[in-house]
This record gives sequence, C-alpha cells and structure tokens, in this order.
Amino acid sequence: MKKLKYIILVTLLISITNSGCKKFLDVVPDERPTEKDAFKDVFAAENFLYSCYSPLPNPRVGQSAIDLMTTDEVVTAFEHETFAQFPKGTFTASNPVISYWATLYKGIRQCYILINNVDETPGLPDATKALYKAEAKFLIAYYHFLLVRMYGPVVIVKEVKDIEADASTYAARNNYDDCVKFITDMFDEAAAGLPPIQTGSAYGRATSTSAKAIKARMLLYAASPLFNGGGGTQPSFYAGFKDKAGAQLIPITFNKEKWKKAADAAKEAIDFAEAQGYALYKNSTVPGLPSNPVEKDLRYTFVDKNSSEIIWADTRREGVYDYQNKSTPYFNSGAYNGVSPTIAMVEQFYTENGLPIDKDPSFDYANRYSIGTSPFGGTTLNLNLKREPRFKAWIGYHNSNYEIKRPGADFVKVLFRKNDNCGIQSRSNNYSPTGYLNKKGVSPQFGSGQAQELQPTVAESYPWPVARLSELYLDYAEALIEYGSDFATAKLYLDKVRTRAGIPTVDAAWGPIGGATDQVTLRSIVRQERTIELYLENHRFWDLRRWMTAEAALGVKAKGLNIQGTDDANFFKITDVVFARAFRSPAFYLMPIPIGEINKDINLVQNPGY
Amino acid sequence: MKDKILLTMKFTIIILLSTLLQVSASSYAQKRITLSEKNGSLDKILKSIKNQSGYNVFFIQSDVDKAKPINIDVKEMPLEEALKLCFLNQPLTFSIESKTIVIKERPIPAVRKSFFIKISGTVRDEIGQPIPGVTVKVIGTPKTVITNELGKYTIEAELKEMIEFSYLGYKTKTVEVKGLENIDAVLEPDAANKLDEVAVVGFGKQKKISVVGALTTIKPEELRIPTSNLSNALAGKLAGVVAFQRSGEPGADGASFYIRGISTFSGATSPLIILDGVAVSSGDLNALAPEVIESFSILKDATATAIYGSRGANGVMIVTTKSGKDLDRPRINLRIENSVSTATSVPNFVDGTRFMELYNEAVIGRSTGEIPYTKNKIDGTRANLDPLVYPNVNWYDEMFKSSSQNRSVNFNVLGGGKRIDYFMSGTYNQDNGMLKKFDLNSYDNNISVKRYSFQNNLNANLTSTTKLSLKINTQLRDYSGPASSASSIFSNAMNANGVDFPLLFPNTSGRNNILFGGKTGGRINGGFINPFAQMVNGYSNNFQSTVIATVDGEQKLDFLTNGLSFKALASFKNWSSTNTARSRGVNNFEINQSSLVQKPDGTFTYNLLQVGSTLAETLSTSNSSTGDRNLYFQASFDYNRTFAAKHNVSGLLLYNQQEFNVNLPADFIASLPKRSQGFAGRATYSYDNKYLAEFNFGYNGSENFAESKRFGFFPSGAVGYVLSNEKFFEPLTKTFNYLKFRGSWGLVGNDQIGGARFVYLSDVNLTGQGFTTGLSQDYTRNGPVYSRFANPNITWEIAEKINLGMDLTMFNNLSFTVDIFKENRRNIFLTRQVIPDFFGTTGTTVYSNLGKVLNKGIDASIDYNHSFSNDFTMSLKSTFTFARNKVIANDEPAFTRYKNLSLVGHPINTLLGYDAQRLFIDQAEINKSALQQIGGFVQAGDIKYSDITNGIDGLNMVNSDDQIRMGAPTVPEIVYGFGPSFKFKKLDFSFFFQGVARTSFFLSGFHPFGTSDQRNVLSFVDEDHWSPQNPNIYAAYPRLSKLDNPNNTANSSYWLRNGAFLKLRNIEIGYTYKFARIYASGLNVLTFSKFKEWDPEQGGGNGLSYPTQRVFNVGLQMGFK
Repeated sequence: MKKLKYIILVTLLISITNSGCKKFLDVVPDERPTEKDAFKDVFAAENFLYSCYSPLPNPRVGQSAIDLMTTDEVVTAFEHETFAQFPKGTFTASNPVISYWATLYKGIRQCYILINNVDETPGLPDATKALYKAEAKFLIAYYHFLLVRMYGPVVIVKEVKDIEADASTYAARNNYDDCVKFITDMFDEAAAGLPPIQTGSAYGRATSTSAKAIKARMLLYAASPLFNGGGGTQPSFYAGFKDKAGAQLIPITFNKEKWKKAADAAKEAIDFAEAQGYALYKNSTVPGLPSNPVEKDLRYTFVDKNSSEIIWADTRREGVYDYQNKSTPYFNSGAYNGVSPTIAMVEQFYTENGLPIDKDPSFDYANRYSIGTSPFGGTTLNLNLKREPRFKAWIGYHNSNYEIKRPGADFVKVLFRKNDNCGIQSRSNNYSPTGYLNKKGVSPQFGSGQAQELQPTVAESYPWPVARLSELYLDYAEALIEYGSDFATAKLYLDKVRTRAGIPTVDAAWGPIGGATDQVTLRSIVRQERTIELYLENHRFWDLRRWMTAEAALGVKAKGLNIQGTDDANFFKITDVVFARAFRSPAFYLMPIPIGEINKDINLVQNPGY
Repeated sequence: MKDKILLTMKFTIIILLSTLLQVSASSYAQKRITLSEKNGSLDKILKSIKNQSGYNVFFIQSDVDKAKPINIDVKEMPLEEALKLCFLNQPLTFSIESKTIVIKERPIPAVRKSFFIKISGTVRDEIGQPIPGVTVKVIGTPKTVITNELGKYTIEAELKEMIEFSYLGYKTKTVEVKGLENIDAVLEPDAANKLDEVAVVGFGKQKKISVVGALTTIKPEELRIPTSNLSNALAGKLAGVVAFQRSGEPGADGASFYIRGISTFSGATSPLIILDGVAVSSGDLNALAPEVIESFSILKDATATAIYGSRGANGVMIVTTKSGKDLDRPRINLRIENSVSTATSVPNFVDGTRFMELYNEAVIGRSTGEIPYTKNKIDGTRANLDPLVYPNVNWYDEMFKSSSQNRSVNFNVLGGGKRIDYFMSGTYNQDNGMLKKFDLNSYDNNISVKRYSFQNNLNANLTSTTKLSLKINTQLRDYSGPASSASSIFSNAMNANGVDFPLLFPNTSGRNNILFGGKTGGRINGGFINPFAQMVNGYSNNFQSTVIATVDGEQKLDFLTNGLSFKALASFKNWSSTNTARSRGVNNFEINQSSLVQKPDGTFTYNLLQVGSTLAETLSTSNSSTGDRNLYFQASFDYNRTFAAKHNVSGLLLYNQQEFNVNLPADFIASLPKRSQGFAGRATYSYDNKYLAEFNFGYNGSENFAESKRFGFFPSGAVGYVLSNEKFFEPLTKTFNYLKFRGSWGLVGNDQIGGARFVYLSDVNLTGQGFTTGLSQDYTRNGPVYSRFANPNITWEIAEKINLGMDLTMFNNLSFTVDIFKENRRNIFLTRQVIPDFFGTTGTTVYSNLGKVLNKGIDASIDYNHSFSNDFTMSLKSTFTFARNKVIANDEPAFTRYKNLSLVGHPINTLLGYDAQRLFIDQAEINKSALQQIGGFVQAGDIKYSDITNGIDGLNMVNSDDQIRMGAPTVPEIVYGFGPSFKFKKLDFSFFFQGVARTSFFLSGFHPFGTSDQRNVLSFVDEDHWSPQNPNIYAAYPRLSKLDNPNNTANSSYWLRNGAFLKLRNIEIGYTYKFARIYASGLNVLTFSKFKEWDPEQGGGNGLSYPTQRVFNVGLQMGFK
C-alpha cells in the first residue's frame, strides 16, 4: 500500500514535468516586431522611407559636417571639436575622425530594401509606391555621390548584399568614371519618377529638380582637374593609383568633353528649375535689419524659408551647440562668439566695384592694414572699408553692426580688442580667434524674445540649403569657361549672381582694367565668384580639392588681427592664428577609407598616401 | 588489614554525610568528564575524575594496582559512562553512592543463565550512506560480526552489555544494550583521517577518497579576513581560483574571480555559484559571513561540472550553510569587529604653482592657442597671497578623509534535538567611505553601507526515513552616499587643477546662493566642474533586500530497493532595490578680474561674477527601483549501495528547471522570463576504495536557441586509482600515507552570450532612425533599424575539459595536490566582424559559433601541519594557480597581411598597442622617419613608434595596422598565496602573502591636461618629462600637450606596465582566554610591486579611482556551549 502511494507520486511528478517540457522554453511570443512589419501598412511604409533619409550627413552640425568650418574660410574657437581635426590634418585611416563610409552604405542598403519590398505594402497607392521607389533611387544616387566626392572611386552597390557571401568574393572598387556614370544614370532614373517641387510637410524630400542639380554638380566634379587627368595643365596625382588587378582607378588623361557634359547638365538643371519658378532671391520683404535692401537679400537668401532660390535643403532642426549659436556675438556666455572669418577669406571679397582688392585701382591695397574709420563710428581696418555688399552682409568686423536680436536692440556693435564686448578677455573658449565674426546663415531675428538661453526658436530655425540656383549658375559658368567655347554665356550667368550681389557685371567691372576675355582670367573670376558667393556653404572644402589648389590654401596658418591687443595700435596687426594647419599632398585630396575595411576586403585598395 | 579498617571508617562517615546532605542521586549523571589518556594508570585517571567531578573516590590501593592500563579519549561524557569505559575489561568494578565513587574487586561472576537479545541495525556514515564492513563487537566477549553491503548487522548480546562499532577512518562508537532490538549507529569520520572527509560535489556529497574530479575545498575559517566581501578572501587561498579586487569603494569593492582563468570571449566568464543547491549572484556570495558556511567547494574539471550542463562551463562554486545538530545545549558564537581603513595608496599631484608652469610649457610648446597663466598669477600663488584670489587647492585632501571606520558583528546559534535541529545566524556590517562632511549641508553624504544578513536553517526528521529542511537567507543592504557616483567624484577631483578656483567664496554680500568657485569656458553650465560642489550637491539612498527561501525534502526508498532515496528541492529568490537621489543645482562664481584691486595692506577687494545661469538650489528628487525574482525546482533519485563489501555503486538522476524574471523590465526582451531546464545524472563505481570510476551527464535546454538547437548533451567520465591502498604499496605507507591519481574528460556547455538573449532571432527596432521634413521642420517619421540578423544555427558553446590530478600525503602531515588541466572551448559565440561596411550592415550584428580557445594550466596546493609540542603547533598553507589561454579561432578579417593584429595565438585580454621606441630627438628625425598616422601633430619629444608592417605593405607609415600584441593579459595568469599560522598555548599568530604575476595594463586617462578639462598633473610626469630643457628621449613622459595628443596617448608599449604584485594580504594575532578570543588583524598591509604610482591591483586607468583599502581590525570572538 505504502509502496503504491510513492509510485503514484513519482509517476505524477514525472508526468507533470514532462507535459511542461516543450512549452517551457518557448518564451518569445510571436508578436515580436520582424522585418515583415516594416511594410505592414501605409504608415509603416512612410516610416521606412524616412529611415532611408536618416543617414544623410547633417551639413550644419559640427560632429558630422566635414566640410563646413574646416577650410581657410573661417577659423573657430572650437579647435577641440571633432571637425577641427580636418584643418589640422590629424585625421588618418586608423582614425578618420568623421567618416561616412559605413553610414552611407547603410543608407544605400536601406533604400534597396525599400525598393524590393514597398510593393508588398497593403493599401499603398501605386503612385505612392512609385514615388517612394524614385526617392530611394535619388538617395542611392546621392549617397554614392557623397562617397565619390569624399573617397574618389568607390564600390558601387546595386543590390541588397548577401551577408553569407564568401570573403574571397568581396568587391573591389569601381573606377571613377563608372561610379560617375552609375550616379548620373541613377539620378536620371530617379528624376523621371519624382515631382519637381515638394511643399508643406514634404518639403525637404527629393525632387526631380534637386536630382538634376546634384547630377550637374557630380559632372562638374568629374570634369575638374583632380578627377580629369590634372585638367590638362598639370600631371594627375593618380598615375600609380590602381586596384589589385592593375586597373587605373582615376583617369590620368584629360578629357575636355567632360566639361561639355557638365555644362549641359547644369544648363538642363537651370532651365528645368527656372521653369518650375525657382529664381534668385531678391526684394526681400522680411521686416527689420539689414536696412540696405541688397544686404538684406544677401543675408536672407540663406535664412528665409520661403526663399525662391533654394532647390534642396536639409530640413532637420538645428541644435543649441550648432552653427548659428556658434557664430553669434558673445552674450553672457550663452552665445559662442567663435566662427571667425580669416584674413584670407576677408580678402577674397570684392571691392565695392566688383573687383579683387589687388586689382581695383580705387582701393588702397598697400595701406589696407592701416587704421581707418568705420561707417558705424570708431576705428576699423581699411581692409574692411569700400567692400562689396556680400562682405557687409556676411562679415562682422571691428566696429560694425551685427544684426541680431538682443534685449532692446536689433543689432550689436561688435568690437574685438581683448577687453571689448566680443574680445577674448580672459576666456579660453567662446572668442573670435581673428577679430571677425561670421554673419552668413545667422538669422537677424536670432535671439528674439530670449533673455539668456540662446537657442534657435522655431522662427529662427531654417532649412539648411544644400543646393541653390546661384550655385547652378556658377557651375554652368565654370563648365563653359573650362570648355572654352562660350564665354559670353558664362559671363551672362556670372552676372546674374553679381547683379543680385549689388556689384557691376564682369565686363563693367573689368573693362576699365583691361577686360576679362581670356580663359585664364575668366577661370580666376569664376573661382573667386564661387568662393565669395558660396562662402560657408559646404563647397570650398571640395572645390579646393577638385581644382587641385588645396595645398596652398589649407596648409598654412590662418591670419587674423591680434586679439590680445587691448588698444588699436596693438589690435590692428595682422597676426598668425596659433592653431596648427597641415595639408599633406596628395593624400589629403581624398579622404582615407577606414583601415579596418581595407583589412576585411582583400580586393579593396586604400587611397594613396594613407 | 589496616587499609580495610580505614575504608570502613570512611564509609561510615560518608553514609552519614550523604543522609545529611540529601544529595539527589540523579545529579551525578550530569557531571561531565573529559579524559584523554594512552596507557594511563587507573590511579591517575581516578585522580582526574575526582578533580573534574568533585566526587570522592574510595578504593584500596592494592586493588587499583591490579588494573590494566587504560586507553581513553572522551569529551564531556557523563560521569557514569566515562567510568564504565574505564572499567571495561578491568578486574575491578565501581559503584556511585551519593557523591562518592567506590571501587571494588569485580565479583567472580556467578554462573547464571544468559538472557541474550537478538540485536540488529544499520550502520551509516555522516551523510547517511550505509557502511559495509564495519566491525560490530560485544565488548568483553569474543562475539564479532561484520556489516553487510547494506550496512546491516545482526548480533546477540545481553542486557547492559556494550556494543562497539569500529571501522577504519571513523571514530569508534559504543552503545549500551538497553533491551532494544534495533540499534542503528552513525559513525563520524575520524578528524585525524582526512581521507574520509566528505566533500560537497554537484547535487550531492562524496567521500574525499572516492572523488575523482578536480575539486578544492576550504575551511570557512580560512576565509575570515577583515573585509565585508567574501570574494576578497578567495585570492591565493584556493588553488584554481584567479581573483583580484579593482576598487575599494564600499558597496562596489567585491573581487572579480574566475575558476582556472578565462576560456571564452563570449562575455559569460564568471563561475556558477550554488548556495544550498540554488544558483545565486556573486553579490549574494559576498554577503555571507564565514561563520555561516559549513563547506566551500570549487569544482574545476568536467567530471565535477558536467552535471551542471549549461551553467558549469566556467566552473562551479558550491557553498552550503551550517545545519543544526542533536546537542544537549546550543552552541552560541559571537564575533564583534571594529576596523579602520585607509587608502593603500594615493597618487601624487603637483602643487598649484608647478601646475601652472607645466601648463604654460604645454600651451607654448604646442601653439594650440590656449592662454598661458600670467606671471602675476603664478607669483601670487607661490607667495600664498590670498587663498581665494590665488587658490592652491589640493582637492584630494580637501574632499577625502584619510581613514574611515567600519564594524562587523556576527551572532549565531546552533543546536537541536533528535527530531528538529536549527542554525540561526545574524550578521551586521557597516562600511563607511572616505568623503568628508561639511557644515554646508545638514546631510552627511559620505558613503555608508549597512548590511544585515540572516541565515535560518531548520531540519526536521519527520520519520526515520523522511527529512524536511527549510533554509532562509535574508540580506538587507542600506546604502547612503553622494548623489553622484563615487567614481565620478574621484574623476572630477582628478580632472580639476588646484589653481582655477577655490572650493567656495565666503558669502559676504548676502546672496542667497552658496558661492562655489568656478571658471567660465567649460562644458557644464558654461563653466568647469568644481569637484567639491559636485560632491556636496546632494545625497542618495539605496535599499536592497534579498530573500532566498529553500525547502528541500528527502525520502528514503529502501523499501523499494535498498540504497534508493528521492529528494526534491524548491527555491524562491527575490531581490529588490530602491534608489532615491536628491540633488540641487550648483552655482559657480568667479572673480571679476577687472574689479580686482590689491589694497595697500596687501588684501584684495573684488566683485564676483556668476558662471553660467542661476540654478535652483532646492533639492530635487529622482527615484528608481528595480528587482528580480528567481524560481527553481529540482527533483532527484539517489542510489548508493555496496555489494560484497568492496563494490560500491551509486547513481543520481535529476531534473531541474529555473525561471528568472525582472521586476521592472527595461524593454520587451528583458520582460520575458529567462528559463532553463535540464536532466543530470551520475553513476559511480568503486572497488575497495582502490579503483574508482565515474560517469556524469547533463542534458540541458536553453531558451536562447532555436527549437531544433535547444538541447545539449554534456557527458563526462573519470577514473581514479588509489595506489596507497594496494597491498604491494604497504611498505611505503609510513612515508607516503596516501597517494591517488585521477583523470577526467568531459564536455560542458554554455548558453550565455554576454547579456544578449535570443540571438538566433532577428532584432528590428521599427522606430530606430528617422528624418524630419517640412518647411517648418516639424514632420518627423521614424523607420526601422536592423540591429541583428537572424541565425537559426546558433547553438551551445562547448567546453571540452581534460584534467589529470594527483593527491599525496606524506609523513602524516604534509599533503600535496596537483592538477594539470586543458580545456578546448569551441563554438564560442561572437559577432561577425568580417562583413565589410559597404554591405550596409554596420551596426547590425550577426552572431555565430565561430570562436575557439585553448586554456591550459596547473593548480597545486601544499598543506603542512606540525606540532613542536603540545603547546606549540604550526600549519602552513600555500596554493599556486597558473592558467594560460590562447585564442585558436576568431572571426577576424582575413589578415593575410597584418598577422600582428590578430588575436589568434594570444590570450584573450591581451593588450594591443604600438611599439614605442623612444621619443623623437628633433624635427629632422621626424622628417626622415616613417610617417606617424596615429593622430595629432608630431614634434620633437613625442613618441616614436616602430613601423612594424613596412616589410609587408611597403608603406613608410605607422598606422593602426602597426599595432602588436604586447605584455601579459589583463587578467593575471598566475595567482599564488602562502602563509603560516602558529599556535603557542593561548596565543595564535598567522599571516598570509598573496600575489599575482604575468599580468599587464596600460596607463591611461591621466594625461595632462585633457581636451575639455584642465586636468591636474601627476608628480611622475613633472619629475621626468621631455622638454627643451630636458631633451631626454627616454623620459617618463613625452612633450606636454594641453589637448590630448593621440600620438602620445594611444595605447603603446610606452604605457605598458607590469601588474604583478605580492601583498602581505592578511596578518592576525589572537589570544584565547576560556571561551573568548581577542585578536587584531590587518588587510593589505604591505604591497611589493615594480609599479609605484598606485595599487597595481586596481589595474590601468588613472589611479584616481576609489583606492583599495588597507584595513586594521580588532575583534572579539566568544563561544558558549
């Protein structure tokens, strides 16, 4: 009897544990999110589309913008920040500091996943499916463009790569021309399915206009000396740059016809954009300063959300530690007072007659570093006087008015001697290293309604222009001049930009000093025009490289005024800014591919010099 | 004749006295006698009994002279029983009359009829297993029998006769026949014979002689050192354990420990800890008082751990707590300790003046644009003009105490009866930190950790075959401390220099704020961090409670088949933690330099400016709570039987399951219960304690794998050979008392992958990345991020373990155990590293079972005991552990060119860095050397590295491909300890040295002056760094730099240091008086190491983390019976 009791007990116990066995370890419910949920309805599909845009490098954020405050345009008080490693030349293949290699390819994969799967989305109209796919193609092209701009020839990715692939099958780099062809074809394909304009909440998404604009920029780059056999006037850097199979990765012979392609693409983009109503920003109706209407147009071209000139913009919000706050004059430690144009940049701006300062007979070039009188009262450098409206609109100099909202005022008169309002005083941070401050891209409304915490408000925040019409004009003019066939049309488009900037036309300005008719003069004019017009718009970093002129501009220390000077006699002295500058040629013309990638893929070759 | 008269006289008097005094006849039974004699004379023994009992003894000398010599060894035995033993087989007999013992000649027994009773019973050992072959003898008669293989015997004896049970290695036991028909006996192992000690093994106990696996046991009293973390006592005490302590912060000062080093890089490297049959955390282990522990075993090889299947790959630590006993009176123990702890070492910094000179040297020498300190400021600081205007603060001294007080109390009671026994213990620890208290606050925010720990164990023998136990372990931990973490307080103190601001300014202007010193330009509210302000800005409390309740029952099933029993155990553990932090805003102020005026009397006037914006100074509160709970169940059948006296067979079949839940899960995955289940089994066979064989297995299921890969089978086998039990070995046994060889092989599994779960599934975050569009920049949508791709083939990580061991005892007092082991760990989980980024999968992990590691080593221990005399004994203990692992396979890029980067062939945790040659002499040398592409500008006085790969790629360049594996691993390969203890009369004295070797680390995080800080300078940097004045290319520090110069701060052989050390870990002196012992002890008393900047046990880093502590302790122990 007793035995029986135990036997029953034990059997019971075993049967209980057995019945629970199978289920016991199944703890993950089926309702977990999976890949399938990514396209389960129209909302999910839209979310997926936005995730494709996510890897876009933010062009105005110091942590990701490799090309904004990293050239000879400005020098900042933020030398300890990430971006400041580029002018110092301390980026390496081992530590590329800012590298888009991984993130951009991640975006490309996301785009292909969308293209492959969006058709499965229940309830999504066919037109929307087509639009999403066209946007994904635009991004695939644009991401490849960003990669090519940074690394030269890259690996073209045409599908969702299989992670199980054997390491010996990993791809090699495609040559530069193939990359360009892939990108322009893809832009064409995308443009066919995209609307010309996006408005309202969709503003900032891809359009056919922006596809054509970036395609034009791609072809301009491809025609430029760095990627086009040295431009025919100097040897290419890349004679020895071959892949493992011995194939040339960047063309080393000059092909003039590439300029023709660039010109045609620019013209196509311009005509298309103008047909959509894009036009240079003029006659601004925004109330307030600057009082000079030309200066107001120039200042607001960039900042006014309703600007008719902006073809494509990055619509992500700006943060507290970003560009605007960094540029604004010192104010109770809440404004960072540190984006400072260099003397080199200051001297690039034309005189009021639209000529380079060393060419204008009416400008006292020899005495430009002497002390004069500011139109706003007080002393200033002669260099700051008799300059073109773009200089006045975008550069804050000693004893000038910086248009910005402050308690009870619409401007700050900025002074830069050691103990002045924007001087260094005893700070080791938040000061202007050159005695100038940048105004471009800073809304004159900035700081309105705020006492101390200077954070851009909704009103002061604006989409950051990535492509605008005046760039296309300059792209077109440059391509025509380099192709050497139609200087008249080139000048026509240069003059559109110059006229809006309030300076005489090329011929009007240059006529008195011998005119500008030859390719060499026009080349210097279009390059200087571009340097001025696109100042601090993420262009010069790449322009200097594709022109093969970066070493002279970037390898030297910046110059500024002596900010340690407490009086005029000491302050108005041209002084080297102590920050180190380095440019290792030709290595720095291309960015390094992260060294780990070279080690993973036996077929991948590194850029020269890294 | 004369004797007889005397006796009669005395006798009369005694009778008189006894009637007068009315002494109760029953009282004599309570007198207890302790005797220890070898071949002692009855005369002497009777004197001793007289002294101990206070009874008179009457005898006739001539009778006593006839007595045979007596061998007796009893403790606390009732008087009458003791006397019985003395008069066994004597021609004399005794009687107790009142308070007098009367000795008489034994009357010649009259021939009478015998009343034999048939007596039977079972003889068992301490763990309840029947012992075959026990000699059962009726004393004074030739009747002798031997127990059968079930430990049973039958014998005939008369009433009042004594039955003696004797067996080699056990204490002989005598029982009087009181008419019982059934006499069961439990034999206790003879303390002198260690071979029959019982060792705790996986899911059971085994006699040490039959253990064939590699296991180490330690007596709990050896773990008693002045620290409130048990794990800090492990290093050097247990062969096979690698342990070290990285921090001295109360509440976070437990040691890291590994069994036989590290064999995997999957993330799960810590051993399984089993407390009373239930898996617990290392925190639960740390909270145990040594007094609570009955046994402590470390299972090292496959035989010992395979039975734990999934959880045993990294070794198992088994701790059992004490149980009560059948005692007449409870045993009560009390320990009270009070200790003072100080930092083992404090890094040295330069003073303010020197700091400024070095800072100026750095900024001028690098042209990075920072503004040097003015001469006026340096001179003013040097002249000590005004501590507020020219501060010169030693933050360490200002903020931290030089010592703190800790105390510890343990009280425990052990007792019980036949039916129920109990053990109860309560422990209280209080550890205090080094933070000073300031009048600024009403609160004291120094770290204080109070811990209350209770252990209650109850055993009930419900019937002769049924036993039920309840064990409850309760731990309460009450922490109070600063609002910010102690580690951030230390790093803030490190990152501040002494000259930029004072602690605080006196509030002379009637402001509402506390005027903390500060400086504009930093990152926190526009200023630099004032470490003092950050320390005093609030306080926090954390209360944790842990309850582990375990019920376990055992039913003997001998009626089914002899030797079978059923056991079941259920356990519940709950841990909860509640955190409350209160902190307030800090307002920093600085002197407005333009208002600073020095008056003619030398004092200064100035105005203060606020740094940044004004923050509220009221305390704001933040709360959090967390916790988890664990349910565990196991049931098993045990079988143990000996056939024909020599063949011992045992078996175990066990089922277990576990479920673990987090109370406040952070995400969906964490909210799912963690489950495991498995079967385990063991079969052992031994022949005559000579030839031993054992087979174990674990069959385990893990939720972490896809259904088809869920279960793993982990078998192991072992054999042992006790050479010293062989006949032919007998001539040698005088010297070599015991010699055993062991060998084992087996597989053990691991299903833990760092903290990751369900890695076979894909992981998609549907709203992980997004973008914003719209003219008003407000239309944001978030889409999916693929964090992990699915891999349904993920399965068990497997450890193949091989162990060869030898146990040897010589001269009865020197024992020696050595094990050599080898472990092949395969299928190690790792995330795929070789998928190129252009696949677009960066940030998406893919797991695979690809890694392989080989771990080899040796662990050994030597114990030596020696008595110089009865009053003077010594013992010596030493251990040695060496474990070296080597990565065999790793998912590395196909380093067809740069073999130097590969981890394959090196131990896990091997350091990777550049090969530093020396410092550059001048620019000319830099120009002609390989281009250093590590980052930062390279100048004369910066570190020059070797271009390792020049011969491979032809690149005349030093980049990250030029790094090499260097030094020894960060986890030491060698851990050892040794030390004697002496006992002289009532004095005892012991000390213990412990050391590690074959370990390295990189100095890091100390570099002056920091990129966004104004970090202070360590003295060694000041003393020998490269400068134009000291162009020493072998200087201890390269050219100074205000901003971190990656060329110099990168990991390299320049910063490689040998982490080996030898410590006088513990020293103790004690004095015992009656039931009390008073003692003084010290912990971490001395450190010997080549590394001098801070305690090398803390490892790399900047040295200014919470220092390990040197403790001096006084204590009192009392034991009552």
